[in-house]
Amino acid sequence: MSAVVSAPRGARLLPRDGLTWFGAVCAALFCLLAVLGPSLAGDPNATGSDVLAAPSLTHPFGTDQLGRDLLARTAAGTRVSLTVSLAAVALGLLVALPLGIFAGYHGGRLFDDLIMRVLEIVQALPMFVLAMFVIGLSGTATAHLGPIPITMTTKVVLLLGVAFVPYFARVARAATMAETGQEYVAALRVVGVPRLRILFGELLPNVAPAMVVQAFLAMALAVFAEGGLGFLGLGVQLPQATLGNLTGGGTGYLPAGVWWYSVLPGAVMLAGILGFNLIGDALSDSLGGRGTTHVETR
Amino acid sequence: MTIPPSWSRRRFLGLVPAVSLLAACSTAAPTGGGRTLRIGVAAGPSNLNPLDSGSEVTRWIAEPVMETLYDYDERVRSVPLLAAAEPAVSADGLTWTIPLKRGVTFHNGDAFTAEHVVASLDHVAAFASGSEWVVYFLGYYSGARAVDPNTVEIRLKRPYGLLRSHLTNLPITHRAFVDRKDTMMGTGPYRLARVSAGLGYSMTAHRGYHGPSPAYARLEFQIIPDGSTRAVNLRAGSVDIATELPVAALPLLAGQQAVTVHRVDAPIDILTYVKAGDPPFDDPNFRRAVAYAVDRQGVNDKVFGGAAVLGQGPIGPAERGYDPDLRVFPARPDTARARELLHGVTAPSFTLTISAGQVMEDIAQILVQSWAHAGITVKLEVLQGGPWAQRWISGAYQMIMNRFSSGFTSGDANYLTLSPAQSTSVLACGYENPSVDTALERVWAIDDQGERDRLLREVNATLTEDAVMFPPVYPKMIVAQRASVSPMDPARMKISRLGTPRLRPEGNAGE
Repeated sequence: MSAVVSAPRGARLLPRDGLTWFGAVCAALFCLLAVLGPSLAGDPNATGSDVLAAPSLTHPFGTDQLGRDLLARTAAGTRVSLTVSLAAVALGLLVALPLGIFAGYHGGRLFDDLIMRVLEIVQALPMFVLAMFVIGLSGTATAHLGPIPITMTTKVVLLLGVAFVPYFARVARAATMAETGQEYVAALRVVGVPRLRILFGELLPNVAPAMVVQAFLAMALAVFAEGGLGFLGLGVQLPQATLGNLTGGGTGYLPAGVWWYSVLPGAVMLAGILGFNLIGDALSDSLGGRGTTHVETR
Repeated sequence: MTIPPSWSRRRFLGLVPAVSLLAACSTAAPTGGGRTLRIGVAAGPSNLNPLDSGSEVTRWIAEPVMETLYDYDERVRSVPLLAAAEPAVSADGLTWTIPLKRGVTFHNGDAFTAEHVVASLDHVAAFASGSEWVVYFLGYYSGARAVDPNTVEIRLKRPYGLLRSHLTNLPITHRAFVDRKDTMMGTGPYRLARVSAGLGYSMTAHRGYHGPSPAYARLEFQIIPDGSTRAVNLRAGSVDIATELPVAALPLLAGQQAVTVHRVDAPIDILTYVKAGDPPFDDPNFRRAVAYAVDRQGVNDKVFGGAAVLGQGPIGPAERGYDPDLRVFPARPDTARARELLHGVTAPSFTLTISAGQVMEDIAQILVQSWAHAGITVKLEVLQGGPWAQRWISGAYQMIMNRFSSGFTSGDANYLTLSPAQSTSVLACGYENPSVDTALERVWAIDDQGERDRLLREVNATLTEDAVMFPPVYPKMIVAQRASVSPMDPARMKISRLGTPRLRPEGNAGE
């Protein structure tokens, strides 16, 4: 028995407005640079004699203070950014979806209260504060959880993933509560469909559109957060290039007129953030407001 | 947070690039002048006590506030300052008696007496204090006492010729302030008036100063973390002196008539050494392979704009014991030689632990790349100052690197930098060579400077050939000043000082 609610009338796959197309192009370029760039642009750590060279045909993004090609480094940084963001969002969804759906299904009962209060505690800590606190305690070096090494990249993924859980869970809970009130859920209960089947076979597909919207918006936030941590020196460590450490590393050269070092990697980061945000926004519109973009007030 | 209904998400996102552009175009307005000397520094130290910390900024801030028993003259000879005369040393060399200058007062009005000298010495000699000086005093210092208010007596466990150097570099503080880390109390020409966390430090002239009257009414150390921004502030006249200028920022000052850039050979070390007692660096061939594969020229060209001197051993050109003819390792990486030395080593690799900062990170990245060409995989570990120091002291590293100004504790030498090579040192890196141990023991014990220099040259050569300490370059101290300030003293800069107590306004500027 399928209870998937079809998209509302008027919803379309291809957007008509230019802003959404602009976002799609930005996100596509960001993803292309991440996927193909490192293979095409060469070794991001190879040094050359041409230091702080302006953009040219040889070095379209210029070079840094060690003579490294900034296009290659930006491509490598974009790959890190995309990988970390995807992993963080996936982790957040993986944890938040079951919690949100369970909480929504048991709405108003002890189980729901318990989950939501715990998540509110996590949510009370701003993402950057949480990240700086944890990285400040554990340092930027690889930590070890027993025999398992936790690299800085893993730490960033874990931190962002944990920070996303409350937001995803709240949306999943709200969407599940709305679905639980539908007649088909009561009917499923009456005919004796197992609870897990109702939760993950019937409710999950109907909650999914709202989560897809949230996932795109979270991708934008993750690209920004990963970049921000890198900018502050708290992200993935050198010599690995990230969009954040490139933007941060280049700021010292801005007064000397070396604009390309900060601005071009920063522009790539901005393209990713805008792209994923606008796609999420468009999806929200086309799904009839299922994935509301307003952050809930508490 | 709820975005107001009149502001759609799209409208907001559309404004993001415009807001970013506006933010990028904004600039800070220059501040005014007056009889205030303004100095731009890169950081604000968390510990303001110069008895604990030898960090450059702490000591630069302390320079006009706190004084030493002896000071360097214009020829870098030690002469009395808070002491009234040279110390009288007993025949066995174990008791030093120092007469103190009379009529000196601290900034709080208390008289400078022998009790304060004793408290300062006891503090730095106590292991629990965590002072950098403890390395010098442990095993030598027995105690000190005030013979009378104007005479201090220092007792030693064994002869210690280097003590004379320490008395020239160790600031003396008020006995009630020896454990304070948030402020300074001294006898210098300026008193610390205000600490603005993260912003800077203000000082006012000490009217009761025992020497020549301070030339400025106020001194301000402004924290400007970015080197280029310090240069721009200097060019704009927002600061009078800009310290620690990176080479990349120097073009910003080119052609500026009102600005002078000083590039001085100073005792600044790129502290670079390995844990010679543990694998993989317990293998001398592995150490040499790593040293042969260092791209010294690359570091000099790209990080220091070709202005540094290529490194060999731990002693640099501004330090006692330097040998300009010592040539063990090439300027460019000799990867063939490195691979030859690594014959039989499977998957050579190690971790390089550095302190965070643009210069150190740039150096390390060049080195990692040059080692990669020789087949050595190096993991880079970048730590903030505190965690880095913990690793350094605990010995939990394979190869460690940081920038260190030896001049604040050793004047024109770098005794502390060499101490990890001594097997008995608290900083020992696991290297064991009886001849080096004996030579360094004698360097610390004797008071014959000529013999000390000879021994230092020997130690430098041995540590270079054994590839225990091999900094890629010897950097220069780069400081720039405006013409509104009297010329900075090269003799002071040669021992890493700024010489702020003696600076004065020039011309009609500063009025």
